[in-house]
Amino acid sequence: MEARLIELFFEKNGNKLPEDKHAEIRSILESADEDLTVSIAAVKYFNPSTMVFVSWWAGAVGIDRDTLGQWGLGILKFITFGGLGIWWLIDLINIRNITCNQNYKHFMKAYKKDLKVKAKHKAKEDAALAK
Amino acid sequence: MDKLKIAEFLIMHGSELDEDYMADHVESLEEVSDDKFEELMKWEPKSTHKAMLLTLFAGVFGAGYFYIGDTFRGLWRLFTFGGLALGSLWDVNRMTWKTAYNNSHALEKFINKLK
Repeated sequence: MEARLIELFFEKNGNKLPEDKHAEIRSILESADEDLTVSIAAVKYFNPSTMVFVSWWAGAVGIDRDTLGQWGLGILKFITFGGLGIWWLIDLINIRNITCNQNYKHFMKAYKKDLKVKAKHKAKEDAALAK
Repeated sequence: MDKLKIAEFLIMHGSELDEDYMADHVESLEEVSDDKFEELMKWEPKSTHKAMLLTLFAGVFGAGYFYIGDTFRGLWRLFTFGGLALGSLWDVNRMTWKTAYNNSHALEKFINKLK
């Protein structure tokens, strides 16, 4: 990926990804080819500051977890009324880290999917060559 | 359009778009010619952050729906007091997805106009 695009990526999404993973993400981005660049750019990154508001106002019924795509935990939180307020409070403090880690998970999912597709492609090519 | 330009566009606006439509967007962006790129970058999606805040603080009046351009649902929320308040709780749940969905449809329309 070009240096300009990497800078743009971190300008837009840097605060949405965990800071201790920035070096790893940068090294993946630097080695990315065109297809991987598109699929990384197409990942939906949630905004942590939005999630703080959602967690404060609607976290007691599990909507913050639901929005992030962890609907199992969302339902559990809804049934227990935010873990009787304790879970709600813990999530409220942690929500920035939770959102960043979720974004990182989606990022790695896109990266691993791309690796898998390339491995399959290579295996097909090798089989064609062997014939 | 070449892939690096598509990637630049998606880095700018990808977080406001629906994941399920991403493959379609890439496909239709590929058909847009390179000289239309500057016009394409002028497109502005509705911000999920703003829509969510409007829904949280004025959701019973349908403010979030008015903002993302869904006037019919907005009026419905306004006259039924947020679907008897329970509706607005449901809205909070769905608003990030709804905004992304509306943005995706708006983008497809915009691309069709560019062609």
